[in-house]
Amino acid sequence: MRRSATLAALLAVAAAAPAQDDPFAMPADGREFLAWHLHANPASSDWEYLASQLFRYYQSASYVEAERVARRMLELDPGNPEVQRFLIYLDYWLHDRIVEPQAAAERWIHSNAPLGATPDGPMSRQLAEMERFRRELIAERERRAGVERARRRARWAPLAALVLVLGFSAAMERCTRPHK
Amino acid sequence: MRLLFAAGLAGFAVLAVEIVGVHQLAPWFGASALVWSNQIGIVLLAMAAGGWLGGARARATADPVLLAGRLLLVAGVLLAAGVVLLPLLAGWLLPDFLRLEEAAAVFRGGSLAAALLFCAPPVFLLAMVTPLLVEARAAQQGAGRAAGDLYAAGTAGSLAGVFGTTWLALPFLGVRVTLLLTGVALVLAGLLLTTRPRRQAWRVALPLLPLLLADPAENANLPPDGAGGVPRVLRVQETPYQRLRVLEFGSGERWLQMNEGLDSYQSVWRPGSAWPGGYYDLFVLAPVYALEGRDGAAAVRFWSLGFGAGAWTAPVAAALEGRDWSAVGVELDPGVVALGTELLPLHPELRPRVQVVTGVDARALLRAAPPDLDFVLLDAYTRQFELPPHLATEEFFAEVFRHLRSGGVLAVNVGAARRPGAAETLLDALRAAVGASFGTNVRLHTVPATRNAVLFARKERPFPDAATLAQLLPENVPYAVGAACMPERTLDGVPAQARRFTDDRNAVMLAQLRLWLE
Repeated sequence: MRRSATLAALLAVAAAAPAQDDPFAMPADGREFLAWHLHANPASSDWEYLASQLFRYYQSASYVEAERVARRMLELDPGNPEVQRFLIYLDYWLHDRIVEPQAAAERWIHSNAPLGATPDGPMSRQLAEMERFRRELIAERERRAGVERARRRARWAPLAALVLVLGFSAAMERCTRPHK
Repeated sequence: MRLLFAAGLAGFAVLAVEIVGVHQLAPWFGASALVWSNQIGIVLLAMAAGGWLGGARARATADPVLLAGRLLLVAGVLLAAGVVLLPLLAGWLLPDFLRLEEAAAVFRGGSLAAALLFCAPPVFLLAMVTPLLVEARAAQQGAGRAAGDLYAAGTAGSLAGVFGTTWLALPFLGVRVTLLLTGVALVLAGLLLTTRPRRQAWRVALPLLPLLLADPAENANLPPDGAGGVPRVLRVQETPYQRLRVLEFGSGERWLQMNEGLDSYQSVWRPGSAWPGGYYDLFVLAPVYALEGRDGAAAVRFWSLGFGAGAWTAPVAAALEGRDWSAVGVELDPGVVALGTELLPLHPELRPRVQVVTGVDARALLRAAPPDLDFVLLDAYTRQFELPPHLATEEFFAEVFRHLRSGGVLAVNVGAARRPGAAETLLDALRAAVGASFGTNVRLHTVPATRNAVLFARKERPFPDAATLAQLLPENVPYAVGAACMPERTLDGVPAQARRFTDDRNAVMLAQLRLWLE
């Protein structure tokens, strides 16, 4: 049985419309992404090619591959702010770190702030994005601190509860004791 | 007669506290094996201590019946107080937006503290009652007869507590009302024994006071939705198996959650998309692998063990386009299917193709499956993050093997957290157990940016390589599926030295406990 147009529309993957001539466009779907990956060359020295790899791996949550490509790009252009930006995100997503990417995000914002003077320019958008990421990291850091406090409380809570229950038992022992 | 009634009621209440108590803890701390062990251990300890003290007071007390009545009264009030105080304790212990992989240590201590504070005191008092009543009756009937009658009444009450709470009270009355009515009954019995029922009749209503307050458990452990927001709670329902909750996010996405909720779901539904995301999308690979090299005209038949709300249906259907197919879904909890049908509905075109069977264990029903299934999907979890032990053994996988045709595929969702060492122990043991029947035709895909992996095993045929797979995948699969199929994300074969889970020696619970506690 063939699927109806409704179901076919539901099955369509939500992605930016791919353009044949745009090296940064995502492949049409996961199948094309896999085929593309099998022929990708992460050791290439072509900057544009590596940049499109980085973008595609990052967008598909293939963070290990994205980081490998980013490191290769940094070898070719040490200190490139765009690549550093991705590495800061990847440090959080891939290695689950908070403190280091937060510090790196602050450094990145500080050193690239003069380049974002043009309103609505690409750097000003990236600066805004990095600032949002930095705030998210701060919120996540506070959340994790809360989890750590909860773990400490949960470690001691049974002991405190046991003391209270023993006190209750002792009180019951005393108040049910017959009067002489 | 009233003494027998009191003993029976005490027996009922102890079991109600034990069983309903776990359901009471579930929205806050889950209902894992850890929580059950804590609860049963605390109840037994309280019974031992209460029995000892009751025995010690029996002979020395001038009026044991009066004392028993007072103990029942206080136990009833304590039971009701626990309903109000547990959310306060949980609110203090549990942080906002706790994640599933962070929760085990908090839940271990929290559930133990809660069981100590809210279950131990009433059970302690209830356990004191029977020795006092034995003493009172022994004067007329002799100790043996009195003890026999009262223990029989207590055991009959306990039986009513086991079956009545699980199959009647929990689904129809819910946790709070069951506990509060038990409290009312205890207060009433206490007043009857104190022989002043008229003067103090107002006390009967005391345990019902918490009903005036809203149930905070409905909003326990909500995940985040946007900056600081939380999703809307559409429905909460208690079943004999678990507590279910349906959430709706700002995007329209809905989650069906069980017990403690957190950032985890049992089923997921996205408006306007057939791809629910996460590991569900990877189930598209089951028909892709199973149909590789197979006649395109043949009808496809498969089973889903742990149907849930059927979130896997559309991804699987994407790979079966143009084929005649039908499926059987097996789900233990009918409440899950009912809620899913109403709030996370399948696409109308897919619904008639799936026959859903509820209320039956997947392993038991699998024996009735035909011997030539194309594939079997296994996504059965009990109590949020525990693979049911009997669905993780080499004997069970051998049973699945017998029901697949040559080239047929088993697909298993495994929640493995993101902890390499412990996760590998669990995954290796599962791969080894599967490999006992399927040989080396075993492949593991890790799902990008999640804590899940999907384990595939193929009967008598090897898996295709990545290049062939890229040609076999249907159009429009999400990028995450393509990423999960990269050779770097797949692991073929079985480990050489892993210990397998068997029906006789099954350490799956320990492996999972280690995984989530570390």
